[in-house]
Amino acid sequence: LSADQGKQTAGPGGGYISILELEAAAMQTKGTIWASLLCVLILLLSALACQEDQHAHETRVVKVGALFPLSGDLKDKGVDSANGVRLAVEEINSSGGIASMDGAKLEVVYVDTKGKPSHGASEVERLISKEGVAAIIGTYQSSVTKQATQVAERLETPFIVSVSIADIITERGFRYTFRIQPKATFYARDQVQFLRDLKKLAGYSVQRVALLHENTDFGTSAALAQKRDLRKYGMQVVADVSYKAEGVANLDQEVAQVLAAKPDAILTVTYLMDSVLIRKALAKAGAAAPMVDTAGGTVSPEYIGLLGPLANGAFTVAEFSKFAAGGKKLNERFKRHFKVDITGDSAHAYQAVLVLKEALERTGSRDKAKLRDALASTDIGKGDKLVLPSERLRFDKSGQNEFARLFVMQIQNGELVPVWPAQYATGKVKINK
Amino acid sequence: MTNLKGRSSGDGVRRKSLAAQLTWLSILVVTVTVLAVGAGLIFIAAKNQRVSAFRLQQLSAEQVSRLISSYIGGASGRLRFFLDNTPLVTLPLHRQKTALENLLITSMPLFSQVTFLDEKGNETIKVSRFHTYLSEELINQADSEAFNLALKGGTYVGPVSFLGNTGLLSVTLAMPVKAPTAEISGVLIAAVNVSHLWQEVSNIKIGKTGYAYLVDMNGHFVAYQKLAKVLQRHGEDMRRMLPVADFIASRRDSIGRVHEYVGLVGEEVIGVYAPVAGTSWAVVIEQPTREAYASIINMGKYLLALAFAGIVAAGVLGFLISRRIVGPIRALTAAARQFGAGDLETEFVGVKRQDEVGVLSNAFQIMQKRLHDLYDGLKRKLAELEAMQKALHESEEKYRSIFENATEGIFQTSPAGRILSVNPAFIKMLGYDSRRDLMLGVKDISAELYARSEDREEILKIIERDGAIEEQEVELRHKGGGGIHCSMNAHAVRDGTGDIIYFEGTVKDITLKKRAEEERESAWSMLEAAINQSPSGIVIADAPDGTIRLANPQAMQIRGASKQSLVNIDFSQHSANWQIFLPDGAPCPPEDLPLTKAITKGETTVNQAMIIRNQQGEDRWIFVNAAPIKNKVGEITSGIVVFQDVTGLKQAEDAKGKLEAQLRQAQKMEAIGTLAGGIAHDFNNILSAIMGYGELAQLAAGNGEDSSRFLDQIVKAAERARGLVKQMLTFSRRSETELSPVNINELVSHSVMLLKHTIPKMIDIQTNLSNDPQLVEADATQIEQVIMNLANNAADAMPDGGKLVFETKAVSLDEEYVENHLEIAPGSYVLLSVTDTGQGMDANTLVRIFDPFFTTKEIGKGTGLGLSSVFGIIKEHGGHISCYSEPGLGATFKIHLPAMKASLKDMAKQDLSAQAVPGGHEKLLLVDDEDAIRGFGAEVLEGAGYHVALAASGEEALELYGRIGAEIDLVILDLGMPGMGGHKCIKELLALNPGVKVLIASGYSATGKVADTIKQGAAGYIAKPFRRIDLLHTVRKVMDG
Repeated sequence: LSADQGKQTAGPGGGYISILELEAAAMQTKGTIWASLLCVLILLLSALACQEDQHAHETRVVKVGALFPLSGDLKDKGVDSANGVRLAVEEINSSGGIASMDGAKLEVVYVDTKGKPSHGASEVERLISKEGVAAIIGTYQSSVTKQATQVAERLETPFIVSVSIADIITERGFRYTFRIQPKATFYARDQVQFLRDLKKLAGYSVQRVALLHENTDFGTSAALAQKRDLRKYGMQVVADVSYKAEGVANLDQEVAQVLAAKPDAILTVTYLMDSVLIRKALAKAGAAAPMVDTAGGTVSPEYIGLLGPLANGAFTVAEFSKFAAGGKKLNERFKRHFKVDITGDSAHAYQAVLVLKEALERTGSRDKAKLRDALASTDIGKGDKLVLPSERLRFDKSGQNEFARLFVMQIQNGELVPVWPAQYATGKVKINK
Repeated sequence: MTNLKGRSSGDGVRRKSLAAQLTWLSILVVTVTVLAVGAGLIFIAAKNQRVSAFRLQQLSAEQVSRLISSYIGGASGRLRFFLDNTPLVTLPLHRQKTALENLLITSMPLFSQVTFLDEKGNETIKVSRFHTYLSEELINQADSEAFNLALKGGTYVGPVSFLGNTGLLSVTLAMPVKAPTAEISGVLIAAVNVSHLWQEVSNIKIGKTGYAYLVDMNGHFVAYQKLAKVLQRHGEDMRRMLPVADFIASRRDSIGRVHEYVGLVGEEVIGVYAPVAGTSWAVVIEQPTREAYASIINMGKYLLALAFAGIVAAGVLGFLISRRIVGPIRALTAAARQFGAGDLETEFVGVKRQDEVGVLSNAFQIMQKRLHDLYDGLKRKLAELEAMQKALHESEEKYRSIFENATEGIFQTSPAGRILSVNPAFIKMLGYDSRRDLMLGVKDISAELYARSEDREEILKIIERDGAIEEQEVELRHKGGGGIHCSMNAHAVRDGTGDIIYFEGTVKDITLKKRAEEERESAWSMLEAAINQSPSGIVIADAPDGTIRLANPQAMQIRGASKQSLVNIDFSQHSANWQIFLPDGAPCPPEDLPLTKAITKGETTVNQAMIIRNQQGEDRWIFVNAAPIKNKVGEITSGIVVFQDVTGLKQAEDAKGKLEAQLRQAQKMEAIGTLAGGIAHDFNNILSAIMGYGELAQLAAGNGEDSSRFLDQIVKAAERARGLVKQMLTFSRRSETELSPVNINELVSHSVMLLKHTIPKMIDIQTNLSNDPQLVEADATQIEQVIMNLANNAADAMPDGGKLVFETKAVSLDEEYVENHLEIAPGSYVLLSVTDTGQGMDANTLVRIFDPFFTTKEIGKGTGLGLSSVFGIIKEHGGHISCYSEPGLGATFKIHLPAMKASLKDMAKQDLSAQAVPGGHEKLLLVDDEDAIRGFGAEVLEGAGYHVALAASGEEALELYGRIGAEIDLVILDLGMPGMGGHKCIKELLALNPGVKVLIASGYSATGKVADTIKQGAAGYIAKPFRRIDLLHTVRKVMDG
């Protein structure tokens, strides 16, 4: 610019100085104006560019909250779940992010519930109002989920429940809560069906059933559903014992109470430490009745680790198995990543991320109301997007995955082996008569 | 007319035309009508709409209210049924629990939690869907309202609230539990899940955007279709909503009253409440007014659009109608104005209509026709009159004009001698100011107008006799004194009887004409005198025959003839008559005579030397000048020749020319003397040395002493003589200049390399060369010679050491520079400066440095040929050399060489760059007696990758070759060397190895002995001194065969 001005002033020859000088002066003035305009423009542009940067960052990223018990008794479960999220997010981001949102990447904020409902609820509030997440995945515990989803509902933010089975979670008329995992009634239905099928599978007839469960939403809702179905099929509930799982150190008395009823089978609803205590107590008492757990502590790798051979023979109903068709490949990737076998909790967390991704692809927006609608119309058939062993994934009006499929596994030689239903079974039921 | 105009302009300012008035009127009528009708319609429609909207609201409110009421009623009915059919009190505890569990299971999801309390309010069993209460978790509820009410036998319906921390919207129901004895022995409290209820409420359509919510007995917000909103606002005081206020006021008549206010979601709504039977709640229905009144608003919009369309239509219609009425009136107005302005020609096109406008237009047309006819008649008469007047005026004017504007004076005088009439020319002629002035001044013309009064008498007599006078010259008196010479024409005008009435005539002033005649005569006589008295001979002859008209006395004197013998003689006789010869003595042909050429060809001759032979037979030298004389149209009418006798002058000049030639000869002799003297002096010195040392050597030999010391000196002196000869040779070779594109920078670099070996080490050689190659067309060898020469001079000027700086740069010399340096033309040059820090020179020396044989060097040191040959070389290159110096301050030689033209430059650059410097790795033997050449050669060749062995003489070379001949690929051999010399050396080398490759390097051209030697078996030849590039090229060429 200065060179230009120089030219203007140097230009005029002596003859027509007056006009040309005026012109030159005008040009200079103009030049100054242009210069200042240019400066302002540059400032504006750079400001815009900064904003753009910020904006660009926002558009490049979809923030998601992952809410799991990352400390306390259930730390391992929480970490399994979080790893499921982590693997899915890494796979999605490395293969181009959300295509319909210009390849926006998922950015996960991992939050610890400490296993406490109130803490979980306040963390949800923080995730939504401070972190600005578009959706939340969690929380493994029904009691925590129950409260966490309330906050999400109030703040109108989608909450995908990976694992938490209490019926109530999807029975409150909430619009923003979606659950991947089957609910308690589904578990009870299949557990009772399995007990009935034992006669066919192993020639073992079950009439007297004892219930032993932890006393929060998880245990309560599962047990209530078990009772309903047992009664429906004319089986007897010979014992119904519940206990407080948090910080439990001894369950000998409760087990004794159950065994006193001389049950043909025992249905348990447990978390990890309590399930170990129960198994030990049963072994100590020399009980032979088959014990069927509700995808609680028994499905944890730690269970087998802690109990060793004592774990053999225990049954559990489960939503996922690494031995199932889709599970094998996922397990390979998971194991490569985290050096441990995948669990149902991880798989559900993984599936929750896939569901969220698929909904984001369809809506192309991080607007929470639109995302909620997209989630509500989720319908995933068999394929890469469905790692759970079911035909389909679709939410009913209440937000519950209608097609959640369950099967029963037995710990045999330190491995969880699917034994029921027949199409998924890789091993045979073993019962000590 | 003015009036009309004024009015029309006034109209222009604030015209309220009929058309506009009509248009506005119709717009007004339509607007008022449409608005009035529209407003009425809207009013009626709005009333109806409100009524129907309110009705709809009320119905919705009642419907929702019924739904809630029946849901809660259903729940309490279900509970009552359970209690009626279950003997709860009589059952054992675990059966009680089972029963309650069954209630929960079977009614799922209606009840979320059921608690059985004993009559003291202690919870005995609590079955929940969310928690399994352990015995220690049970509490006492004796204080609770639900318990107390139920204990009294009532059914408690609690507020809608969230159950514990479950997020489940619930209503607490409490009922008494009766023993078989019908006495109340406990209370059953159930939490009813109402979230489903709200799903059902959502299914009731309240318009498109209407909604329902529930308030409790305190007017607090408790339920709504959107659970999120309930979670956000549960318990919020809603009494600001008018229906809620009505509800709280519990006025029966307020049921079904519809309000308009800002509703739950912050939007203008119409709202109504309905109490929910069986509870203490009310349901509020709100519908946004924008939806409720949508049809009215739309109607309003349509009406507005309609009104607008109507207004536009009315405008257009009004405009069209008014144009039909007002258009013709306007046309009439315009026509009337046009008549007023006098234009009756343009036909008024009327309106062909049957109405009043048509009649008016018709009448107007008739009026125009009548007016037009009348006007035409008038105009014709007027034109005739005008034509007559004009003719009359014109004829009068014609004569008047002649009289007034004539240049000759016109007069009428009475026979008595009085002036009757005169024209302005006459008045002016006589010097009077006006006619009146003349009339007053002249009473009697014969006395006062005529210079001589008798003149008039005479004129009158002539007139009497001849009837008129013609061109009579007469002198009249001028008013300011003096006479005017006039030529007069006059005659008498007579009446019917022949008596003279007056005289009239014209007078022309001929005073000036008379004076011019006199002047011409005097000029002619002066010219004649000039010609006659001129010291040069002047002859004028007529064209075309060359008859001499005039010859002045000087001409006659030079010719030695009388006037008669010269004048009136034509060409045929000139040659014989004049006897004119060319300076070489040959007679001048008549057609080549200057005068002839001037007349016949129009040529001018200036100072031509000729010889004329006079009648006495003497030859006279003359300088002849001749020219044609042309008339105004350029025709040659005659010719003039002017000649001067310069015989005396010519003789003096001849004598001077002889003297000059003698002088030049003397100078030439002097120069040759200086040249011979300079060389002779140098040689003499050398010879003296040789002789002196020779004698000393003889002496020493005689005494048996070692004489080599003196022999060395002799050899040294001989070498100096050889140097001198070499220089002379170079000087004489100057004419063999061969120009080719040369980069001066390269030459300087090369020379500097050479100089480092030849000039004393104390001298620091620096170069400051321009980055671009400086191309000139030059003889590289000569320019190098120049550089070497200047450098050697500089070195001589710095015996104690100093700095020698070479600089090159491109310069453009402008006219101004050139004006101060006459020897050079403007243009682009390459400037090579050679600067030393030596002794410098004074002004006297400076002016002579380029003279041949001028030297300041002590006798025996220089011949003085150096700078003069430098000067010659630079001149030959079209360049210029100058020197700036002051004593003690060193000297700078500036050489300007013409830069190559751009186009040539490009080509040359390509050529030069194409000449990549070739090198190699072979082993070479360089034989030369001069240390400088050996050093330089070795440096160049090693620089190009060769391995170089050196030998200072032929003998040394042979010895070396004998030892390591197998390794040597090429011998570079100087011919002129002390000892066996090159010629013999090459023979020996060939004897040792017939296949040896020898490159001859010689300062002599490749002729004579050198050529013989080359024929003997040399592989190549290179002229000394050589440039680096030449050496490398030749070596490579020879090596490659």
